[in-house]
Amino acid sequence: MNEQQQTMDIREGYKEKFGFHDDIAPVFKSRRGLDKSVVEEISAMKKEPAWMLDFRLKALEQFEKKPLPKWGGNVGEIDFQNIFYYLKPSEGETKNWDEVPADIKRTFDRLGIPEAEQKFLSGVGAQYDSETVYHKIKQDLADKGVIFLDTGSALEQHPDLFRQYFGTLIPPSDNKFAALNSAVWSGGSFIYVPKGVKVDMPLQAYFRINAQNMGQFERTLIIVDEGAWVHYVEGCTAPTYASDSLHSAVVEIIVKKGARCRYTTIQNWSNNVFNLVTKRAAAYQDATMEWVDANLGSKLTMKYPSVYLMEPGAHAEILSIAFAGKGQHQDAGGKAVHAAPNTTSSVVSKSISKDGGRAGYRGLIKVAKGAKGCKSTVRCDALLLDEHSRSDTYPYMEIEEDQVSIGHEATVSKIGDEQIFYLMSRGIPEAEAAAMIVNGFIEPITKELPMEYAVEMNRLIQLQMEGSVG
Amino acid sequence: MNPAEILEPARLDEPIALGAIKADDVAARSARDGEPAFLARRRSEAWAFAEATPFPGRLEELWRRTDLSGAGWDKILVDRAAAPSVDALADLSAPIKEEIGPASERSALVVMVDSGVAFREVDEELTRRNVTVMSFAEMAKRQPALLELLLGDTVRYGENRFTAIQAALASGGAVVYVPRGVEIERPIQILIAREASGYGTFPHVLVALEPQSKATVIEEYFSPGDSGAGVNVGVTEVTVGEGADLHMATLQRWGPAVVHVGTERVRVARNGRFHWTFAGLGGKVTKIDMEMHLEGEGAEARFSGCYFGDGTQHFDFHSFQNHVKGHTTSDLLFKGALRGKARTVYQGLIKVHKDAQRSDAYQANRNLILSDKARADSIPSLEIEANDVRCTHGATVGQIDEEQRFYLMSRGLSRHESERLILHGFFEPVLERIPAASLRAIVTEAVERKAAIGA
Repeated sequence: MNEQQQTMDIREGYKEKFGFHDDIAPVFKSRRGLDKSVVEEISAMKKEPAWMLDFRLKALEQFEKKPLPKWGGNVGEIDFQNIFYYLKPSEGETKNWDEVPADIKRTFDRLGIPEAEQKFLSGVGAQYDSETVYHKIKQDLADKGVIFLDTGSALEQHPDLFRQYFGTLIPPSDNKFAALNSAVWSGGSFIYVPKGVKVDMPLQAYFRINAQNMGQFERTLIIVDEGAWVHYVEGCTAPTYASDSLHSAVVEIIVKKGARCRYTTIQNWSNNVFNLVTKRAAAYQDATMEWVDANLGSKLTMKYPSVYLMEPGAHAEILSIAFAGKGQHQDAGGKAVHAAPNTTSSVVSKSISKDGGRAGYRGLIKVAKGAKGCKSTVRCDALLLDEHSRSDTYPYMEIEEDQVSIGHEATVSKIGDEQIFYLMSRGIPEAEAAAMIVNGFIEPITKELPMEYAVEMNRLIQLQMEGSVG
Repeated sequence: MNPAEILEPARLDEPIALGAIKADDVAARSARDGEPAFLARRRSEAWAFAEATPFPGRLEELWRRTDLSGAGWDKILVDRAAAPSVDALADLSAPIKEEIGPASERSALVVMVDSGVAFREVDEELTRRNVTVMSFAEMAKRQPALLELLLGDTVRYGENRFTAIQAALASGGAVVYVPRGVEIERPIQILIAREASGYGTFPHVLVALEPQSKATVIEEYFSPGDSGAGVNVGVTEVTVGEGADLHMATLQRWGPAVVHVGTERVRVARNGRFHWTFAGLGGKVTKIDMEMHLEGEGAEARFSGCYFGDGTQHFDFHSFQNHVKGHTTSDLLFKGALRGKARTVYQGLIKVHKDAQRSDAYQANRNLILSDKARADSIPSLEIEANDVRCTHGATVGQIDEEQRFYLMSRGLSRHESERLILHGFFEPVLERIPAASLRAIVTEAVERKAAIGA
């Protein structure tokens, strides 16, 4: 196969770079399917306090009671009884790459994680199926009191801090998939940044599904104390299997007075993963919460990162990219709930559909009664690259206050013939011109990514665009 | 069944409560009115559907924000003995006469009061050119074949409980049929009025333009002053034939205690043009589904609408611009203002089907909130399956621009006057499209009255 052919098929490229799997003998694997005993087993394995087991069992009841959503994507295909809900790949978490079992380490080496840690990260967490196998933070940050642990260890080591915030933004009853996560959660990151501490370089977590029919249910809780800053980056990949896996995370973020948090996701699951995630942040006085949410992979993604603006001066920024190729449905978006006066939000969404893919924006801007002086703008642009693909825009605006300024704009178009013609007249081949235009289209978002990710993102788009003509 | 009801069936000439109607009553009343068999059958099938179907609930996206199940439906009286028809326009009540305006501004007129046909007048020329303008009941008697052809062509009775109730109990409404190539200059006016309290009205309006014809139709829902409570469940079916051109104005001017549920649907064939002017001003709760289906290449639909809510008024509008075929154009502008504790919901969808390449669609919803207790929801959505298209939408919710107000006040206008002037400018582009001059003046004045309150 020559190089040209290789780059023309994105699925082929994915298989080689991310779609491999390793034969790992897990130290523990729950049986297929879900019931009370599976939940009890997970909790017992983790030696959790009684209140957590109780929380899990109540969540399981909620999960069983709630109907599947009728909107969004086709979640009816998920066979909940064919999934493994808990798989422990190694004996425990370590702070030393050398102690990570060799075969698991090989996976992360192939994905370039240890190298990235040395170069440009403040800390790294790596989750393999249900458990994190590695978590480490730079010593100077640890000395300042920054906590960066896997969520299970945080429950053990910081029980009071944990219990104060856990499940407060997203109760199990929030939706069916949040209930599922609450019942079987395992892994994820716990971050606490003390007052006034600024974490200059990003903290990163890498999520890897390795086993077939795996369900990954990580739970992330981030608390940014007054005046502190943090940037958290997560990436995810999985092997390409013939049958489906399920990823259903819950992420809760508390951004206190004057603090700032940026949460960047590069979601690049293989095309057999259902990605159904609930992400929510609360921003207090003059705080800023930013979601940078790029969705390139998965079979179906339903994810709408939200910000509750709780006190005056809070600001929300949501940048969303959705790229849907063959067999993919990206139901992405975001929500800003203005619960206090003089809060602001800005949403920019860019979606691209290609080869029969379906990408869209679903969002909500809500202004509660009494939240005077709020401002919000939503800008959604969609590119359709061929006649087989589909683009959807579902923006909800619920405004209960008069002294506000709320605007929404959206366009759907193809790549302009004039733009292509201009670039071709400068000697650029058509396919390359199309890729350049798409890169320009999403540039407002890629420019917000850390440099290494921006480069990776452009490369991924380039890959997806090869061989296509707008 | 309650034996008493068998022994004493409701008398045919008496009104009956919606909650007490049985299938037999629907059949008996159709027989009493000597309706053709197809209509009797349609009514009984629709009634069976209505009985088996609950009110649309909050789990359905389009009904999530407006719950009508608590409107006291069971007590609503239907089938009121028809008000006597009048021989001359002069015999109608003063407010209705005023609403109608001078004869020079129309080519035909059908006036209904509380479901009965009160008055009908059609220009000689229209009759000569085989244009049909009749009430629904008259149509059933005199042109049943044409009625059968048009009825249910666009809106099926089985869409939900409301369309079924309307089909089963249809009373009042009008039919406009324009043959091929006939062009009518002056508007055809349909006035559906309510004067009595406690009743349900179920008008059915059918407008069909054959190819290459042209017409202007005004459908107005009106009750003078605050003439009592009640519900209106209406269906309007419109077809615009190949190359035909229809301008329709839909005006909702009910009194403040009326609940209005409307299904208004338009199909436009190849190269047909449809322009819609809409104003929603009255009523207590209004829920209207407005759909424009562009079914032939080159078809075009333009919608300019406005609403103004005050007090505790509740408006819920759904619009659908459905591009089924290519080279079609739709353009929707919907502007609203809210005062007091009014609540408005706008849900709009543009859908471009796979085969509808080279379509051009636009949708804009602008809301001015004039009080801190009002609430506006806006949900302008797009579903696009073709790539060579241009689709844009925008929605805004805000208050009166302080700079505009400041400019006017710096010219010596009071705060109050400035706001009135700005609102006038906001609504003017929609109101100026109302076809008949006198009616335009009346509606504009109604809007300005709302604008002047409380400013």
